[in-house]
Formats: sequence, structure tokens, C-alpha cells
Amino acid sequence: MPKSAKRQNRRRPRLRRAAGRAAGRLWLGWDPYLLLGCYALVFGLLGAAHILLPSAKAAADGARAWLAPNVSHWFGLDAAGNDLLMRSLRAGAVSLWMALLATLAGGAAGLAAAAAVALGGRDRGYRLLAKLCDLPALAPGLILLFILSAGAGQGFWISVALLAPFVAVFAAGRAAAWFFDWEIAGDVLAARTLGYSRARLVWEHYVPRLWPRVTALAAGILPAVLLAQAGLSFSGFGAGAEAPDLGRVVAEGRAHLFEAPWVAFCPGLMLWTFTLMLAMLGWAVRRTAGEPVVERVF
Amino acid sequence: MPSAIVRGVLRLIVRLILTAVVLLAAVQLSLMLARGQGGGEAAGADALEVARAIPAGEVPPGLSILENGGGNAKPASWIDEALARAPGSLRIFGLAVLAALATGPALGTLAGRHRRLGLALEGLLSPLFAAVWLPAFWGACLVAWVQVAWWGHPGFADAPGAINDARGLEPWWRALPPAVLVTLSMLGWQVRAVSGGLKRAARAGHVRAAHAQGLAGAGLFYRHVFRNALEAPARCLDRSLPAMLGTQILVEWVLRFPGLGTLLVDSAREAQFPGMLVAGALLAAPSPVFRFLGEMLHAATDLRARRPAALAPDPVGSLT
Repeated sequence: MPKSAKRQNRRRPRLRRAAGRAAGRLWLGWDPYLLLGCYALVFGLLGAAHILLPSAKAAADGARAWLAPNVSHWFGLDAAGNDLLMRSLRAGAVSLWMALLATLAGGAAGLAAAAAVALGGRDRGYRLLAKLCDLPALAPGLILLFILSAGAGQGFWISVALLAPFVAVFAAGRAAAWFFDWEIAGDVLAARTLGYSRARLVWEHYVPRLWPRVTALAAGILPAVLLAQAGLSFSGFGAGAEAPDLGRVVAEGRAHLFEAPWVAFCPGLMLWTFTLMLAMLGWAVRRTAGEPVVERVF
Repeated sequence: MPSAIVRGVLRLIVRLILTAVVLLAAVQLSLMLARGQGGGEAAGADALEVARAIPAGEVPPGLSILENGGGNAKPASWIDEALARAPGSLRIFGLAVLAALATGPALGTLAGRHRRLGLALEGLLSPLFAAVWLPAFWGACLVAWVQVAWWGHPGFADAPGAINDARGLEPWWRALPPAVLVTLSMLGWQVRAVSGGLKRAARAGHVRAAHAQGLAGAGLFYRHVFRNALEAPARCLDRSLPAMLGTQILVEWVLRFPGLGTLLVDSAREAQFPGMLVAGALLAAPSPVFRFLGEMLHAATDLRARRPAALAPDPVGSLT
């Protein structure tokens, strides 16, 4: 036998095999990593901006208050002489991190509730969870948020804690519907027939199916949570004066809407940009992970 | 069909009761949170007491749009206040719903029909999709600024009489700018929901079979796709309604429109729980009603919906 054929048939070392598999996955499925990089860029840059940019007070220049946008101050200066671009970036970081934390916390809680029902594996459990998740949908979420905020007050963690249950209820309803559909999937039926325990069934057959959908769901919810949070803080609730977010900055600008319109317009434009960017990323994630595009028939 | 209507009405009644229960639970939780922070006189009460106190409760002068007629007159009750504000909110809501119904499903159907255009169609509809993510309060600020800077219109600030005492078409004209904002907040979503439903229906097996037999174009679309995807246009309004109402609350408040949304936000800012409860109940009531209408429309248009609902069978239920 020639020497090259021997080398061809030789089993590669385990480490090289693992590295080859990882490289193959990275090369073939590059789009999830690209999307992950986009999210890391948005949140990382804004987090860095929040830490590195000078605080509003340090940058204040009272002598040049209410300066319209120009080359040196792209968003202009507000009533106290703060550079609005710096202020908006810092506030944007607060808004985005609040929305992200609420989405993650609520999503995790919702998934845990749905997984608990799936572990039980009873139709009655699924129906009960579906009905419970339907309850908050009876009243628009913003009405409930205003009522709850009136008692809870302001604060970064208070806002996160108020928004997270709404995400949790939504995520639990969706996850329960998926689990219910998967109960009659071919591999699940086979596993049930073979006598798998519910825990093993959930771990081996539901969880691998769950990740792409959960990622798509979270990416889709995130911009909506950001908008709800900004609406709350614009109305006087939200993170509070210690860590002003974009809604609060726009609300401050609203008081001077006719003397210095840029104080409300520029931060609002930044908020809209962030929301649109997250919505488009969410759409891309959904198309990549959750619901890939299927070819047109006619 | 009559039995479906009876079932739907019963469901509507149950949902209305549940809506009231959800609102009372939210008020109770809010009171408990306020009590935890040691705030307010209301912190000692519970939600049922708040609800019972509504008919006799007096609206603080800062929140009321009703003229008290001097120092001797009795202040308005919360119910009077809410009823005085309801027509304004109803006008905005009515205009927004009519506009959304007239345009959303139609545009969505067109987008589903002409999906062959692909990216060009997405480009045409992209302003609508971008408007969905427009922060409603910021959009209302822009409208207020445009009204003053370009049209010299004083806006609605501190002028509730200008809206409530107006005659003829004037109140509708005043309700138009907020209604446009409310409609825009949901139009793109409705278009996407309807066209998405049609695209999913177009991938069904019977559509593929009909296409393989030579049927194509509008005939195939309206006969086999549209009729099977009627649920999407029929139910897109009731599903988007809560978000529309949320937008309306913020838009009313920014424009100082004397409606229920302004009453809700002002009551929340002043920690006036009766005001929140009254305004919240009246604003939440359309949600179950529209859901009922959506279900009825769905039952009337979709043959499959007339069959008794059955859960998916569990083929190995007896084995485990």
C-alpha cells in the first residue's frame, strides 16, 4: 500500500478533529457569529461610551447654553451647556442596557415556567399556562405599566423589574405553544414510546430545538421593550435623574421645544435609530435562526 | 353560527370581567409597592376601596378639565371627569381604527399578491415599517413643533375647551394629528402580518398542487391562497389594538389632548389611584370587544373555524 493512502486512512488526533469541527461550524454558519458581533458592537460600544465619555456635569459649559448643532457640537448644547451628543450616548447606553436586562430576565423566567409545564407533560398544564399568559393581554401593557410605576417609583432596577414580567408572560406563552407542538414531533413520539423520562425528553429533544427560536424571540422583543421603557421614562417614570435615559433626555427637551427644538429632536432621533437598528438585527436573527426564508412557489 | 355568537358573547363577558380583575390586581400591587416605599395617603387603602370610592371621589383641580364654576361649586367626580374626556379619546381611536382597517389589510394583501417584486416592494413599504419603531412621544413632539412653527397653531396645551366646546367637524379635525400618529404606529406591522400570513398560505401543499396543474397568477392567489389566509386580515386589528392604545395614551399626553390617556398619565404622576383605575378601565375595554369582533369575523370568513375546536390528538398518550 502506498504511503499516502496510509496517511489518508489514519485517524486524526482528537484535538485536531475538534478544531476542524469548530472551524467548519464557524465557516459554514458564519451569519450567527456576524449577528452576535453586531450585538456585541452595539452594546459594547455604548457600554464603553457610558464609562469613558465625560459625564454631563464635567462637560457642561454654562457660558454657551442652548447652542444649536454645529461642527464642534453635532447635537448642540442644552440649557446647562451640556454637549447633547455625549449626553445622548450615555443615556442611550442606560436605555439599551435596561431593555436588554429586562428582556433577558423576563425571557429566562418565561422559559423556566414553560419548561416546568413541559416537565409535567399534561395538556391541562399547557392550557392553564396559555390562559394565564393571556390575562395581561386583556389590558394594554402600557396601562398596567403606568399603574405599577405609580406605586413603584423611579430607578434603574425598578424599571427592569417592572418590564421583565411582561416579557416573561409573553415568552412563557410562546414557549408553551412550541412545547405543545413538539409533543407530537416524530422523534419525540419515538422517545416517548421508548420510555424516556420527561426530564430527558425536555433536555435532549426540546432544548436543542428551543435555542434558535428563543434567540429569535428575544431579538424581536428587545426593540419593543426599549420603546416601552423610553415611553415610561418620558412620562416621568423610568431610570430617574441619577442615570437619565433617552426618554428622560427627550422629556427635558420637550420643555424647551420651541426655544431650542434640537434638545428634544437629537436624542429622539438617536432613540429611533437605536430602535430601528435593533429591529433590523432582530429581523435578521429571526430569518437566520427562527424562521429561515422558504423559497417562493409561484 | 348563532351558537358561535352566543359562545363569543359569553367569552366577551368573561374577558371584560377578567380585564377588570387584572386592573384591580395591578392597582393592588401598585398600592403595596407604594406602601413598601412609605408613600402617599392612598397606601393604606386596598384596590376594592379605591374602586368603591370612585363615584364619590373628587378630582383634584389640577387634573380636571371640567369647569368648576367658582369656589362654591362642587368639584367633579372621577366618573364625570372620565365621561367628559371619553369622547375626545373615542374620536382619536375611531379615526385611527378606521384608517388602519381601510389601509392595513389592503396594503398587506397587495404586498402578498405582488411578493414577486421582492426587494423593490420592501423598499416601497420600508417607511411604514420604520414608522412602527418611531417613538410615539417623540413623533408627537414633532407634530406639536410643526403645528406651532409652520402653521402657527397653538396646539392643545391648556385649551381643553377648544376641543370639548367645538362644534361641527372641528373636534374631528383636532383629533386628526394624534390619530395619524396612532395609525402609523401600527400600519407597518399590520401590512407585514397580513402579507406574512399570505406568504405562509402560498406555501401550502394544495397551492403547490394547483400550481403544478397549471393554475397561476391572480386566480391561484385569490382562489386558493387568499381564502385560506383570511384569518390574517380578519384578526390583524384586534392583535394590534393594545399597542395602538398604548401609543394613543402617550400621544394624548404629549399633545395635552383632554382625553383618557392624559388622565391616566397625569393620575399616575400624581399617584391618584381612582383616576388610574377609571381611565385604565375605559381604555382597556375596547381590547376584549375588538377581540370578540375579530373572532366573529374569523368565524364568518373561515370555514374551518366553524368546526368545534379540537386539540391535537396525542397518539402515544396511552403508552406513557
